[in-house]
Amino acid sequence: MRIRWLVAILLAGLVVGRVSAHGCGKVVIASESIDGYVVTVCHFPYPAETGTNHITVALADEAAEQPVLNRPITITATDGRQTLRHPATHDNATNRLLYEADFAIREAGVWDFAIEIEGVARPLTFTAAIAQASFFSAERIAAVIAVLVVGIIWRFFGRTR
Amino acid sequence: MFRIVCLGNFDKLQTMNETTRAMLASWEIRPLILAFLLVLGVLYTVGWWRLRGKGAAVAKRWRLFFYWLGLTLVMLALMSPLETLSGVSFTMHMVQHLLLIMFAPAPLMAAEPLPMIMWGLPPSLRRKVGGALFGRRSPIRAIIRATAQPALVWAAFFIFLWGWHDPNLYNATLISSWVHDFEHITFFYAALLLWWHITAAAPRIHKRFNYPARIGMTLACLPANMVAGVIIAMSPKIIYTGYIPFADFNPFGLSILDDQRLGGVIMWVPGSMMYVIAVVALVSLWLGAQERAAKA
Repeated sequence: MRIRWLVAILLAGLVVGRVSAHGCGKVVIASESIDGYVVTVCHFPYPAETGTNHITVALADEAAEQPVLNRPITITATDGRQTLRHPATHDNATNRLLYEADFAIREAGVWDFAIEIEGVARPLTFTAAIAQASFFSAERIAAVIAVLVVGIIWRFFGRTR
Repeated sequence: MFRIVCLGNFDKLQTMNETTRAMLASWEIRPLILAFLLVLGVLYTVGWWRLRGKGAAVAKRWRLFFYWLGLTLVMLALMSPLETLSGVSFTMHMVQHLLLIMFAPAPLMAAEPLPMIMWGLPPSLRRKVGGALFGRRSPIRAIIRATAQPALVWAAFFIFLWGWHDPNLYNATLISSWVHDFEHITFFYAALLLWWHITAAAPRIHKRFNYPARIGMTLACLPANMVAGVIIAMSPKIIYTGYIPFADFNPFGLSILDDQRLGGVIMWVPGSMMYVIAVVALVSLWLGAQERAAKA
C-alpha cells in the first residue's frame, strides 16, 4: 500500500512539478539603451494570463558590455484599480545574472508595468494584455494528467495484491 | 603606474568573479525530478546487489558506476547552470543537448537498466510490472516494439535533432519552458531507443543486432550531428535571434555569433566523437567475441 502511494505521488508530482519552473518568457523590452545601461525585460507566461506573472530584467553596462549585478530594481504593476509593487532580485531568478519579480495577478485586463532601476532617470514601461487563465491552462492540463496517472497507477498496483 | 594597472585588473577580476559566482549559483533544483532519479538509482542499486548476490554475470561493478554516472549527467543537464544559462547562451544549450542525447543515454543503456530495476522491485511487483510492460500480450510492449524499429528510431533521432534546430522552433524553446521540456523529452526518448540498439541492452523485444549492424547504426548517426554542427559553425549570420537581447550575458564573454559558432563546433566535434568512441568500443568487443569463438 505504501509503495502504491509513493509511486502515485511521485509520478503525479513529476507531471505537475514542471509548473514550478519557468524560463525567461516573451521579451517585452529588447536591449533598450538608457543612461549607460542596456535593459532587456521578459514576461512569463506567454501568452500572458492571470496567476503568477514573472517579470525578468537583464541589466547590462553599455560600455563594459557586462551584466550589472546587485542594483536595486522595483517593478510596479497596475490595471488602474489596483497597484502591485515588488522588488526584482537575483534570488527570485533561476539565472542569478538576472533580476526577477513575481506578481500574483487575479484580474484579467490591460496591465501597465513600470521598472524602476536605481541610477536610471526614468522608469521603463510596457503594457501587457493579461487574459483570464483558461480552463485548459497548462497547470490544469497537468493536474488532469496527474489525476489520470494516479488513477492508472492506483488501479495497476491495486491488482498486485 | 604598475599599481594602477594591478588595481584595474583586480577590479575586473572582482567583477568577473561576482559574475562567475552568480552563474555558478544558477541551479534550478527541481525536487520531484531529483526524487525520481534517486528512486531509479536506488531501485537499480538494489537490483544490481540482488543479482550480484545470485552470481549473475550482468551485475558488473562498471555497470553500477555507469548507471549512476548517467543519472548524474541527466541531473546536471536538467538542474545545473547548464539549464538556466542555456537561455542566454547557445553553447551552453548545445552542451546540455550533448548530455541528454549522448553522454547520459549511452552509459545508462550500457548499464542494462531494465533487468536491474526489475530486480530492485519486490518479487510480487516485479512479476506484475514485468508482465504489464513486457508480457507477450502487453500493449506497452507492442508500442515499444513498434516505435523501436531501427529505421524508425534513426529517422526520429534525425528529425528531432534537425527539427528542433529550426530557428523558429528553437526560439520557441527560449520563450516557453513547456516547449523546452518537450524538446528535451523527444531528444532523450529518441536517444534512449537509439542507444538501446547500439548497446544491445535487455529486454530484447526487438530483433537483436549483430556487431556489424550495431556499428553501422552508430556510424549512421554521425551525419545528423556533424552536418548540423558544421552548418551552424560555418554560418556567417546569427541563426538563433532569440539570444540577441542577452548579448552581454554570455557566460564566456563571447559575441552572439561567436557563441553560435562555438556551439556548432561542440555539436560537430565532441558530438561526433562520442559515436566514434562507441564504434571503437563495438569493434573491440566484436574482435574479442570472434577470438573467444575461435578458441572455443
